[in-house]
Amino acid sequence: MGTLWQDIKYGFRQLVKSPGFTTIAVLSLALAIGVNSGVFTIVNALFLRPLIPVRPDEVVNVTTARAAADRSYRPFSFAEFSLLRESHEVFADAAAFRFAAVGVGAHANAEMRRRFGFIVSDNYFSMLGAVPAVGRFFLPEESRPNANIPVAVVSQALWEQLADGRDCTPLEVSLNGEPWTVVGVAPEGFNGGNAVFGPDIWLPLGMATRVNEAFGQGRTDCDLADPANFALFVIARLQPGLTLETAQSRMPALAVRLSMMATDAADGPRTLEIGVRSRFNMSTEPTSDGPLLFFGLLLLGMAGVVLLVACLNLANMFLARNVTRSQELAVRLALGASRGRVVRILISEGTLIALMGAAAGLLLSFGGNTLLLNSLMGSSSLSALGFSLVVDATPDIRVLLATLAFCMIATLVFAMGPAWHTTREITRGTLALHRSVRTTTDRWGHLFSGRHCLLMAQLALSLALLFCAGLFFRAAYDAAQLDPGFTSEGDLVAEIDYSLVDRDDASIRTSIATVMDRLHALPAVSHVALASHLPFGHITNNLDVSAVDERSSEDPRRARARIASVSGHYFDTLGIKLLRGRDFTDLQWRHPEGAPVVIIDERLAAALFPGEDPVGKHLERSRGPQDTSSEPMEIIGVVSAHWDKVFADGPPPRLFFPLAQRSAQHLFIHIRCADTTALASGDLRHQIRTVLHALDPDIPLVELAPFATILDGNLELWSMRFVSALFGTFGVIALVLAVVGVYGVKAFAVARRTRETGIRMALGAQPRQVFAVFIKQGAVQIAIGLGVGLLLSLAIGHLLASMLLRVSPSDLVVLAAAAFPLAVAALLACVIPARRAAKIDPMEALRYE
Amino acid sequence: MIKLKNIQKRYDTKAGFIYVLQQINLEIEEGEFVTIMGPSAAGKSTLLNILGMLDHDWEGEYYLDENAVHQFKPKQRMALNRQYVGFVFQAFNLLDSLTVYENLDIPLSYRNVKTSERAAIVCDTLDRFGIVGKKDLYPSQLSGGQQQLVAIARAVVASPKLILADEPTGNLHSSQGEEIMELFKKLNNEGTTIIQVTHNDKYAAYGRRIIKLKDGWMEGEVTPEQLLGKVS
Repeated sequence: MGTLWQDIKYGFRQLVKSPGFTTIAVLSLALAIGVNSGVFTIVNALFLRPLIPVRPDEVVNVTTARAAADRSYRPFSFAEFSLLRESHEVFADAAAFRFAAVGVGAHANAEMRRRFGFIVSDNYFSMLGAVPAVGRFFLPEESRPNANIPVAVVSQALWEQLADGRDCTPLEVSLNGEPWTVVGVAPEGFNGGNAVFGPDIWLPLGMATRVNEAFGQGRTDCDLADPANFALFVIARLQPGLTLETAQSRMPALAVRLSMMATDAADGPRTLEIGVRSRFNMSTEPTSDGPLLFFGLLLLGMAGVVLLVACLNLANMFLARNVTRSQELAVRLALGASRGRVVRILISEGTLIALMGAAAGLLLSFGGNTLLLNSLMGSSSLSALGFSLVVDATPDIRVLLATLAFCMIATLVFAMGPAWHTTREITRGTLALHRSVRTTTDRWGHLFSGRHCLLMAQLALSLALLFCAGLFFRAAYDAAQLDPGFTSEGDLVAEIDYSLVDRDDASIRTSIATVMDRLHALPAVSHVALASHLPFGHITNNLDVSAVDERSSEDPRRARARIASVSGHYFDTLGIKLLRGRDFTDLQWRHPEGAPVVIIDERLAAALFPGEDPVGKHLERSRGPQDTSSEPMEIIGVVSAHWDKVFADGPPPRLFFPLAQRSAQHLFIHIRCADTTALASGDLRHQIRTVLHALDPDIPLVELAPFATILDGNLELWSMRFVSALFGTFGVIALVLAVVGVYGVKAFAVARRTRETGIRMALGAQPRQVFAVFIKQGAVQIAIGLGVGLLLSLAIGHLLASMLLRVSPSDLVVLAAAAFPLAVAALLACVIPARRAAKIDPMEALRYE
Repeated sequence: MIKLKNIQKRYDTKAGFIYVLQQINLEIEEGEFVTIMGPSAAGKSTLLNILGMLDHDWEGEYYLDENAVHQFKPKQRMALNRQYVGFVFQAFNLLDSLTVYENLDIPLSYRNVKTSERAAIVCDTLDRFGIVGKKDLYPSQLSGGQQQLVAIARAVVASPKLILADEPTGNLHSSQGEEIMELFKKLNNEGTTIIQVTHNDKYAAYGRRIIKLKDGWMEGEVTPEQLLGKVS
């Protein structure tokens, strides 16, 4: 133990004696370990950290599908949920929930903000292992259908805002303009089993009829007592000791009971499925976290490559340093030190550097992740929806252990190998008590010596990282350059969510029509239009529709279309071309009484009426076998296709209803400016706010922003930019490390080959010829490294293919863009040592011998 | 061929000037075989480096044929080196990463000899020195004597008028040493001027003139016979 301490002290002294070496080594490792620790922290938060504190493996997602081939999934009715809850042969407990959006204010007259929430059964919290931080959770009587007891549970963050320093439970607050009582506060960090986003407020099932569904369309008379009201998501806790497989084998019997009571039993028997809960999705269909897990592993892999590049770099630095210390080490061996002891001395230095690098890396990762999460909330428009980010990126014991593991792996790679190699060379007599070292290797040995192989590996890995960064950058660039099929410039969007106030459809129609007329009268405004959905927005709704064919009712053409309710002039306002037919008239979009009409886009037209003019034809909502309620809708126009998602192969088929014919409480007013300077100055926004509040002081205006700004905050674009920035950071770090590595190896090679250079000069070599020798060797090594890197890049590119849209995984432009700067930087790193070699004095060099 | 006038070399130290060579005056005719002898630190190797134009930091006048070397810039001196000089070192100084063939090719490549001509010259030299069978071996695969043989072959491959040999037998045992000296004698007989530095009286006697240096001064000049004590 004493000698170990002595070795550590000696190692520390050696590091202090070489501050430049120590600083470069620690910084290289700090960057690499920081990247790894940071990525692992996120992977830990997303995939490893238990989201449910008590026996998380027992909690499963329950879904139901039609047993027929189409496997259509749907939520559960309250009656079905009750059946599952009482099925104690499989489930210890089952809880139900659904999404909600509510306008929350501290009191009746306070400013209201939209919040994303869950409407939950009374056992929801207990089943997820949560205990209230303050007050209580819901009582059974509060969760009965139509109980109408206005109580709520809020998150810690919302509690702090609402209570404003007061220490009071229960707390009276305003929800959707009505008085509610906050009876409890969820524990800090409670996320409802989701790793990324969580609600700020929970309401009991008994209040479902009083709160509108989030992401829904219009008012939903959500009477849970109605057995045909399928509105609930169900999660359940398996009986203790029951495996998932055993529980799955008991599902068919339970499914028979469920099918017998289902009101839609005529559509065919239903199946019941249970599966591991997704950490990211809440869906009525089984979902897999596989793609995200793949991405997490890919990130870890890429970060591992950065660590490997840094370790290769450090291994080279340590090899060079050990050679310069070979005299000292040989003396130690000659004085009786065992080889193991000398190795231990060298490893002690490596371990000290690794620990310093790990400490600095941990700080870097914490800072980086904080920036990342702030950027996520700041850059995306999720906050406008009322979501709260619940990713817990604070380093826990797992992160600390992982960082320590990275540190140990790094030490093994960069310190152990060189230490073992050096001592072996000394004991073999290859390195001796001479200041310079005679190499006995041939030309290929020079080219492929250990150090040069490490160097080439560094270059290959760096190219692969830069190539990946380039692919994602190109994908992000292409996504940003994508012609969406509409014009966002000059368009101001006002988001109004009437679900946050208690208004009926007629009142909304009257109010919004007046708003439209007043806004259109503003001098700077050229067009005004309304829509229930925003292109590239967070909320989408689809409808399965069929062509109505007069000739045959058998096997009509079907398609799933993205739907929106719009006003007249919507297409003009957004610059969407009307290809055939006509727009909705004022009568059609302002009054619900007219005949049902729709406008479709060219994608839906091609799907339902290929090669025909669809104007004047009819379509209808696709019906089940027993469904006769659907009414044919006349197609009055066809518009050009326009995009809705970055991560899509093309624009979706679209179907537009006149606003009055389809209830919509969540509305987007598009206000196109004749003069774009008015939009930039903010004057127009002020005028619009004034108009809106003058007309309706309680108008639930959620957001007023230029459409271009909203699009810029799109989560898909953000994630694309984030990934390209992340991989770019990896690539740049790897490039810097590789260049430093090339310089270090070449400088060391020049120093080692001083004698050879002197001989060459004595034999008549001119400086430029000596320069050429080193540059040529460097160029060959760079070419080999990049050649291997190219193959590696293409392999990784194909691995990433599924994540890259509209970009070839073997994009030659990206490959060239990644290889060129790396090659130039690496060659430049060779130039300085080569110039130094060209200036060697042959006499001095030979005397050096 | 070589004329040195008042050549001196000194190092400027904190303690003052330290002279390595002083007042060296020497003339060597073309085709001569000259030996430089003296104890350690006498300045033998320094003088050889000056003669080979590897050392540029000295005073005095140095004429190589009609070239006033002392007036030349380092670059011009190196050009003259390539034209006139072949070096043989005590430690052989073969390039370890090159084969025997490539070691012989190197001086020619530095003299911009065409590739086709180089191959012919190298093959001819390999043949002349009887080392054709070793042409693909690396220096580490040769004995000391063989290495020095290759080093001499390398020194003459570019047909220099002057061979400078710094203790060429210093690392060889006696039989190998004699072989090397016989080779020098043969080259000298073919017209190459040879200047060697050696501590060994027997090998020194291969030279027709023996210059003695001590503490940087020229002590004098003796004949081989005088050196070996045959003539007092």
